[in-house]
Amino acid sequence: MSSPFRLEAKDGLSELDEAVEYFHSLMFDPRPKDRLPSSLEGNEKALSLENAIRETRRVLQKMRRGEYDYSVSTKGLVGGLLKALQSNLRHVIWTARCISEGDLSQRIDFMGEFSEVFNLMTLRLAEATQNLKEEAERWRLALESSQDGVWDINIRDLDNPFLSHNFLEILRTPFEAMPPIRRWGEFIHPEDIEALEVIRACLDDSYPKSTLDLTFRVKCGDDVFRWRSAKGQVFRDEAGHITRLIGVIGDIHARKMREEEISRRAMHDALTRLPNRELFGQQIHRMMAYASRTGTCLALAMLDLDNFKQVNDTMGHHAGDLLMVEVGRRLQKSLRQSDLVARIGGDEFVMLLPCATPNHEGLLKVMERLRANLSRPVDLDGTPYSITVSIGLAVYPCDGDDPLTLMKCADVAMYRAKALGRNAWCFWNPEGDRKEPQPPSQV
Amino acid sequence: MSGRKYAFSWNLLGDINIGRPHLGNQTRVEAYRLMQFTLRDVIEAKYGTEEADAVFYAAGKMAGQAFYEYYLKGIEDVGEFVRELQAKLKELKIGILRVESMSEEVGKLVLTVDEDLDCSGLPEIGFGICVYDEGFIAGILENFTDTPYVVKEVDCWCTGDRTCRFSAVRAH
Repeated sequence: MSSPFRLEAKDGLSELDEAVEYFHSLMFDPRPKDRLPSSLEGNEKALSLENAIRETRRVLQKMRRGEYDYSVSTKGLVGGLLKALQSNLRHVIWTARCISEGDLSQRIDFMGEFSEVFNLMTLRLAEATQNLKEEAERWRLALESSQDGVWDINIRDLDNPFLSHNFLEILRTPFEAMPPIRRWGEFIHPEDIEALEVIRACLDDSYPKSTLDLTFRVKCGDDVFRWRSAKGQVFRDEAGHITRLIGVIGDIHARKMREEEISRRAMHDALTRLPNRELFGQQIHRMMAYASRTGTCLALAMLDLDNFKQVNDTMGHHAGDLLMVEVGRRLQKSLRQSDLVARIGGDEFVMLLPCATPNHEGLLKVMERLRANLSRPVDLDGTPYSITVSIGLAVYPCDGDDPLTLMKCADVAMYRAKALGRNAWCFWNPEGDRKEPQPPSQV
Repeated sequence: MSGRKYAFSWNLLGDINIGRPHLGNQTRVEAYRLMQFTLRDVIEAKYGTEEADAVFYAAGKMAGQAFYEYYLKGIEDVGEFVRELQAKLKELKIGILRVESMSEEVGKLVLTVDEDLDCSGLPEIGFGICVYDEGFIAGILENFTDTPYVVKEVDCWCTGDRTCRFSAVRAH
């Protein structure tokens, strides 16, 4: 069989050696010889082989760099394999892109171990994604059921907090109307100082604790202050700086209102809405302490409605209630802002009247005002009724330095006023001399 | 044309389980190619090469449309469509489909079919012969997208490329 190569020995290196040398260089040298030996010029198979090897080198170098958009003109087995390899790699790229865009059902076949591993990776990714979705849905449903709102704040990106739908509902504010986080303190009620301080401390990285538990009033989107609670966690970096705050906010307004109402009812008389004995007991200690600190005095006046029982007996308890309410109202109107009036019994009232000195003149002015207001008849379901009262007064610290003593003194003075004909008031006389009763009309 | 003898519909493929209880629904690739290549030879001899190609493209397209209606109808997601098409071509041993690129919502695709039923293993003859496959792919894509496609084979086993690569472009 004749060879396509007509090579002859020549000057030491045969043409065959030269050809082999050339193709060997083309195949293995990083910088191959750049010209076909002259003995092979015009030889179509040699040219074809040269082109095939050069193209293979170029394609492999491109593939090594991750470039797969090459063209292959070489025919036959090697060219076909390069194209098949290119096809596989580009298919892998396309499949991986589909997976990155969320299509986790893509698989790759007929690529041996690569297929196995790639498909297993995709399967695990799909499982993990599904688990995460289920967990997220679980938490979402739980939070929605609880009606609490979630907040998640990245301290380093305050412009993009996560605020759940319920959070915005609780504040009655749409997301686009939410103020910047650095201004949130402006919407806290000024009396809720603890919450204000905690917010500021978290934002300026001085908050020392790892949890948050606050109760506060916040101005909602309708400009009304409402009670809310916030519980959360504080996350820090390795240097201890606050990086993230995450927690829940709850609507506790109704509960707080009920608590306040219960507290108010516990401390106030249901009929007259005046402070009751319990609240009076708290206030007298406070006002005595203030008088002591400031070197002033505090007068305690016990007031009893004269002949109240007759009203109930003759006109009924409804009339008695009306009278009580009206007396309470007139007493409040007679007193100063600093004074306190409480109902401590059926027809018994007690007043606390701060005064600068034990001098009775200031107190007498109050008594006079009270007398004037009480002297007008009360309309009891169409029946005019004239009120008279008996009042006994004692002054702290002169007449006593504890509430019980003061009340006893005032009580004695009140009974003295009753004994002297009612419709009068008496000051406690420590020496037991009965001070002339001061009929209201004579002041 | 009324009263045609050979108007195609999928049910004409029959019930192989009934028809071939012993031999089953498998046959050799040579049997398939023997039928197709002899048919192509006669058509070309009688009507010319261009007409033969047109006939085979049209037949392939008809087959592709019927294939879509039977196996792929109702799929709307592109990813799922490709996945199911790959699976069916593999199951029916038509070929191993790869998507190399896809752009503009299936406006332009480059697909390869390895171990193609029509041409893999054929001798190198210098030109591509997978005209029927061009029509087949066009029929499937057109029914999926409701728009016409032009599909051309750019690489073929018979051109020495050892794989069949098709370029599919949405026709304007």
